[in-house]
Amino acid sequence: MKAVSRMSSSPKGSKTKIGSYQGVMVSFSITIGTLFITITREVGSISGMEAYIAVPAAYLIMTILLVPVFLFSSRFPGKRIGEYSQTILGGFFGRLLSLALMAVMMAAAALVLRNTAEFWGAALMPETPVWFFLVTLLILVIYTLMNGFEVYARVCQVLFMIVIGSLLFLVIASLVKVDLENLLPVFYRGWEPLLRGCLRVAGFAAQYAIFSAVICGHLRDARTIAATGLKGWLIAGLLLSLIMLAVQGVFGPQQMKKFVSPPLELAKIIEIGGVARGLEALLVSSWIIAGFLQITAYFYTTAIIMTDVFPRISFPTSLLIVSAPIFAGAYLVNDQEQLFALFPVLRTYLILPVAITAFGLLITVAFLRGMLKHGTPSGQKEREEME
Amino acid sequence: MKGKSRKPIKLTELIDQTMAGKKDVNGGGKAAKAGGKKGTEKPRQTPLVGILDIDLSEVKKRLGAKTSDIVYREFVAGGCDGVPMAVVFVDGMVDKIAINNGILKTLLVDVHKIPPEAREGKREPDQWIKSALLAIGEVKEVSTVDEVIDAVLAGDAPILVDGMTAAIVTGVKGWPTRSIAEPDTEAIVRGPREGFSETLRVNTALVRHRLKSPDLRVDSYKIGERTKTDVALLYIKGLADEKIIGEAKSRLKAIKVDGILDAGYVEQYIEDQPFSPFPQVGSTERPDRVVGYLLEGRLAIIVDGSPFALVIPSEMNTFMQSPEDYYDRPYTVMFLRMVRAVASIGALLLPSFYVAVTTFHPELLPTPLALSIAAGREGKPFPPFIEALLMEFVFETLREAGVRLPRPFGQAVGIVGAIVIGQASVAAGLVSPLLLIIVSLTAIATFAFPSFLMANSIRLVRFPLMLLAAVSGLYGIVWGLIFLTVHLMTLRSFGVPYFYPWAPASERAILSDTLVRAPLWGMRRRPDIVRPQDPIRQKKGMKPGPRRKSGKETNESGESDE
Repeated sequence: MKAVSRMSSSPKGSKTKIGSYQGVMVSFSITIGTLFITITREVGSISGMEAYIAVPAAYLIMTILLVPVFLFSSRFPGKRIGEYSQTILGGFFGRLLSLALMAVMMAAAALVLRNTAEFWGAALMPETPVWFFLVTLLILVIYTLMNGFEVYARVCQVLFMIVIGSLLFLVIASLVKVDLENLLPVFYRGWEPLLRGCLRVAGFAAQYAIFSAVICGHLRDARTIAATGLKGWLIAGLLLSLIMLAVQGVFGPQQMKKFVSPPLELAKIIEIGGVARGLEALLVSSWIIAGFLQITAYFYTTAIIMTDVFPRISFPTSLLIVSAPIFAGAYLVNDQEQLFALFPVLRTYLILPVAITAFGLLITVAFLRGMLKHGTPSGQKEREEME
Repeated sequence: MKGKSRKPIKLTELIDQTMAGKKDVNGGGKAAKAGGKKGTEKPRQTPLVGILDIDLSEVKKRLGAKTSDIVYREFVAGGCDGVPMAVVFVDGMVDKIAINNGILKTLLVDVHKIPPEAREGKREPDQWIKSALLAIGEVKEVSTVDEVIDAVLAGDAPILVDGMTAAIVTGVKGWPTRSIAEPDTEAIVRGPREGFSETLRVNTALVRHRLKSPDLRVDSYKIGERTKTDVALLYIKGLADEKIIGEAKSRLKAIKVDGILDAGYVEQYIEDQPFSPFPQVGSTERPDRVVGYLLEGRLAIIVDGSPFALVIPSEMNTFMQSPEDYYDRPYTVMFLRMVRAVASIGALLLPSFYVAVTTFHPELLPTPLALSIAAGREGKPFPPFIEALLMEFVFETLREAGVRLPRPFGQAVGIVGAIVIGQASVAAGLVSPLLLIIVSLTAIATFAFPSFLMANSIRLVRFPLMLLAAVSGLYGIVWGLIFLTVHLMTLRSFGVPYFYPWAPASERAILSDTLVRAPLWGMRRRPDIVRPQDPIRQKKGMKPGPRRKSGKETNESGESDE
C-alpha cells in the first residue's frame, strides 16, 4: 500500500475507506470476536471427540458461502449489500431483504452484547449488575462508530493484535497440559457428530458473509476484496481450530460440556515454569476487547443497512435507533442458561437460513437479469468512478 | 526601486496629504470610504514624503517622542552643506558599535574622503550612501512610515534622508542573548550538546550549520498584531510534501492574535484537535533533531523568543523517540525503546492496577502477595483509590514546587517529599508501603519518556483511569483503555494518522523505526507517511564491511588478499 492511500489530502481524512489489511483485521471482529468462548462449548457438546476436526472442516466448507459475497462486491464495487440488493431485486424487495438481514444481525448483536456482559460478570465481577456492562459497552460502541468506520478499522488493527496475542499465548502455554488421549479415537460414532458440529459453525459463516457484504463497500481497492475476505476467514478458522484443539486436548470432550466457558477454565490453570500463574485476569481483559469489537461490528452492520434502506436517516441517528432494541434484547435475556440456549437457535435456525436465502435469491435474480456478466454497465461504471 | 527619488510636490500639499492620510500605498483611504470591513483589509500605510522634518515627526508621533529607550539621532552627512539625515533605533536592541562605526562615522567622517568627482553621475543620495558609504552588511529600503517603525521595533536602524521618499534600513540587531547551552529537557549521553536559544536567527543558523543544502527553505512570517513575532517555517524544498507545506503555511497565516510569546502559542493555534490531551505537534530544543526531521521530509517551525522548535507532522511514535536513538548502536537502542515502552505502560497503569486489584480483585494476586498487601493495608483509614489519589497529588505538588523553587530549595523539597512525607505517611498509618513503592515507580516511569509533552499527557490520563478502576475494577481499566485507543485513532497531525505505523499499519516502518530500530544503513527509505517527494535517502548496499574490489577481498592496508 502506498503512503498516499494512508494519508488523506484533507486534514480530517477519509472516514469510510479502509485498506485490505485493515479489512482483514476488521473481519476478525466477527470471525473471532468472542466466538472462541462459546464455540468450544457448543461444538464440544455436539461433536464430542470430533469437535477439534469440526471447526476447521466447517471453516473450509463454508468458504463457499463467501463466493456470492465476493462476486457481488466485484460487480458492484464500493456498494454494500443494502445498496446492490435494491439494484438487483428492485426497491421494494431489495429493502425487504435488507431489513431481514438487519433484523437477524440485530438479534445477534443483542445476544453478543449480553454474552460479553455475562462473561465479564461471571469471570471477575459477579456482584455488578448486568445493565452496567450493557450500558457502558453501548456507550463505547456508539462513541467508536460515531468517529467513522475507518477509525473502527484502525482500532481493530491495534486491539486485535492484543486479542490474537492472548489467544496464541493461551494455546502455547497450555501445550504442556495437553493429553493426546483426549483427541483420540475419532469417528467411533460415525460422521454425524462431525456434520452436526459443522452445521453449528456454519451459523458463524453466515454472520461473516453478511458482515463481509457490508464491509466490502468500504475497501479502497475493489480488486483485493476476495483475497481480503478469504484471508480473514481462514486465519480466523485456523486460530479457532487451535483453541479448540488446546481446550479439548487439556480437558477432553466430557469435561468441556460442563464448563460455561472452557477457554476461561484453561486460562485459570495455565502456568509458566511455576512463576506466572493466575493470568486469567489479563487474558479475560483482552477478551473483553474482542467482545467490544464484535459488538461494534454487529452494530455497524445493523446501522449501516438501516441507512441504506432508509437513506433519509443519518448514520448517527440510525445508531441511536438500533441501540434501543439491541439493549432491550440483551437485557431481556433471563440468564446465562437462556443465553446459551438462544445462541444455537439464532445462528443455525435463523441467521444461516436467512443468509442462504438472501444470497441465493440475489444470485439467481442477478443471473437472470444478466447482471453477473463481466463488465456490465452498472458495475463497470462504478469501478471507473472508484478508480 | 520604488519611491527613491524626490518628486516636485508642493510642501503645503504634502503636509496636508500626509496629515489627512489621503495619500496611501494600499489605497486604504478609498477602502475606508467604501466602508470596508474591519480586520479584513490591510491597515492604511503612511508613505514617507521625503522631507526629513515631516517624516521624523510622524515617526516620533507614532513611537512617542519622549519614549526613553528610542533614540532619534539627527545629523548632516557630508558637512554643513550636506544632506540632513536621522537614524532611529531602540537603545539596547542594536549593536551600538555597528551604528557608530558603520553608520555615523562613515556618514559624518568618511564621507569627506570621497572625492567630489566620484559622486558624478550618482546624484541620488541613496545610491552613494548605500554603495559607497554604509559599512553595514544588511541594507534595504522601505517607503512607508509603518515599515520604518516596524524596522525600529525589530531592532534595525532605519536612516531617514531629507529628499528621499525611502528610508534605508540597516540591519544592526544586537541585543544580549543567552549563549548556546545543552537543552535541559532533552539531555542525552551521546551526541551534540547544542540547544536552541531564544533568538530566531541563532536558531536558524544552528540548523543551517548542520544542513548545508541549498534546498533548505526558511519562510518568514510575522505573527501577532502587537508583538509582531518573527516565525520561521523550515523545510527542504523538493523533499517535503507540497500539500503539507501548503497546509502549514495556511495555518500559520490564519493566526490572527495580538501576541505570540512562545512556540507553545503557535502549537495551540495549528494543532488538529485542540481538545485532545495528546500533543499533535512535536517540540524539541535540539537543532540536530530538527535537521533529522527535516531530512525525513517533515517541517519545523521556529518562533523568535522561544528555544523550542515545533515539528510537523508528528505521530505518537515520534514522541517516544530520543535523538540519541540514532547515535547509538541498534541493539542498545532497541533495548532502551523496550524499556521506554514498559515504562510508559507502568506510568499509565500502575496506580490504576493497584486500585483495581486491592478494591475488586484481590483473588488475582498470589496468596503470599495478597496477604502481604492486606497486612500493609490493615488499619488504613482511606480506601485504596483515595489513598492513591492522595499520594499522586502529593507527588505532583512536590514536582510542581520543585520546578518553581530555586534549585537549592528544589532539592530540599525533593528530600522533604521523599523522606519526610513518604516515610512519615507510612509510619503514621495513612498509606500502605506498597502504594508508596507504586507511586515512586510511576514517577520514575514518567521521567523515562523522551518527550515531556507525552509524559504530561500520560500524567493527565492516569487520573481518569484510576477513577475508572475505583468504580469498576479491571473492567473500568479495559473500558478506559479502549476509549483511549479509539480517541488516539481519531487523532491526526496535519493529515497524518497519529498512530502510524501501527494503524494504519506499515510493516516496513514498524520494522525500521519503532520498537525495532534498524541499522542506519538499513533505513533506506524515509517515512512514507509524510509523503516525501524523494523517498530514498541512501543508495543500496550501504552495509559496512570490507569493500570488494573487482570481486576480490581487500585487507586492512587495502591490498588484495590473494
